[in-house]
Amino acid sequence: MAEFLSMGGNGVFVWSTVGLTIVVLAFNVIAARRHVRQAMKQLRPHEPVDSNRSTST
Amino acid sequence: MTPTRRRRMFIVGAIVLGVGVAVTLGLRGMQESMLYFLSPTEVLAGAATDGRDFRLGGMVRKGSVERRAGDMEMSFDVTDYENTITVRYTGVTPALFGEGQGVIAIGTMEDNNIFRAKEVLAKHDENYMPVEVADMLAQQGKAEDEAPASTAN
Amino acid sequence: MKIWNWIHKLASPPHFYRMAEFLVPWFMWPAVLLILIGAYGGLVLAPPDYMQGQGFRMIYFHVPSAYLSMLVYVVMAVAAAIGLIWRIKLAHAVAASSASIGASFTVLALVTGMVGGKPMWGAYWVWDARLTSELVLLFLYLGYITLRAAFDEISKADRASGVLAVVGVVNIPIIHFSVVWWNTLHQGPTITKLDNPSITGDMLWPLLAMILGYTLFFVAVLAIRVSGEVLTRESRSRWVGEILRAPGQIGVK
Repeated sequence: MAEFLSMGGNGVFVWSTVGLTIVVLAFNVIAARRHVRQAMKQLRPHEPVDSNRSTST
Repeated sequence: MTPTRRRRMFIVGAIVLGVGVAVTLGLRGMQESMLYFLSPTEVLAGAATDGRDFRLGGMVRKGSVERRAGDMEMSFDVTDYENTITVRYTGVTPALFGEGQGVIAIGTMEDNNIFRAKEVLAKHDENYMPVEVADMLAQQGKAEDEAPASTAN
Repeated sequence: MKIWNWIHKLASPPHFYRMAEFLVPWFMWPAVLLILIGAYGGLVLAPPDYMQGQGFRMIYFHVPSAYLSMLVYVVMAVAAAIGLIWRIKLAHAVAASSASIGASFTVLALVTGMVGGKPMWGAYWVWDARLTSELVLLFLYLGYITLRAAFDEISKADRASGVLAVVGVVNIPIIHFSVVWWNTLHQGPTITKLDNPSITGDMLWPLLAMILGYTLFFVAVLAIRVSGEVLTRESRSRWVGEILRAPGQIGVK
């Protein structure tokens, strides 16, 4: 296990590459979901107007 | 397709084409500064005579690496399989530096046609294989002549 | 022209929103699975390289991100061109949503390259044609994002940034062929050089799994982002109101 982690002396840069990749992948999912949530939050104030319109028609 | 759309498509195409041509011409004009390193042949033909630092690239000739005991002084030959320039360098070499490997040395030519390097970088090729495969290829390769590797591109 | 009607229906924002909601998990989970398999194959199963030893394993993370940084740009430029020519709002939404995804993978490609460059080459950064053109790609993405932010009106932002996206596409072949056209410190192409295998099968398959996984991942993330984008763009329409009252899985979980 220790041998696997050390990557023949290249452990630091191989594992930092893995770590950076995880960070960027996670960032993309989180940022995309936040993007949608913010869009929805921004639109919420319109909701009562919209629902009024849909009930009246 | 409506005429407006055809017109827009023409404009978009013309923009890409125009910029493409401009960039191609620009890069052709800067051909020399786009090259990251010069080969020994180019250097000996007088490509870097102004005494400024430049990058010399090629393969480390087999059997040419000499390290002086005691300090970090070393010398090796850089070859493009046509011409060869001897490089002197003081310092630590990167992990992938070795005989028969690609190398890029940054420095200047001295009067005696020896290159004095301030920095040495290792250039590895685009081949990836396990040790056993490399050994097998080396065995096969011994019969044939040493084929020039990929520094040429 | 039945096919055109069909395309227009498919490209209509409400239809797209419902479709994206359905498709995202079908892309995201296979993507996660492929990336995990690729990472395991690359870090554990693949044999060490004859030259670079265990250190070569960084390519399983560096190469897919560099590939995706270019693929995303091509998608962005094509979407922008479609948006400019046919004035399809959804196409502009796709282009606008691609930029930050592409920028993040360009940063990843550059940083993983720098991290690997120091121990392998002896330098974090050199100004060779490959590294420089990839840096130009990052500036194209950042320029696109900044240009969009400079406009209040979304249709003007679409048009101005669309032209930039389309123009910048000339950088993509430059990145790819830089290592062939000029001599560089970066090595030449490994996978796309089809003659004379430059990588053995047991080292290649994890890389291909990662590349496929990254592609699916991009589709999934893009679909989520475009969903948010069309909500904002279509905020006054009836269908958005309906979605807000009964939000689906996108953006809620």
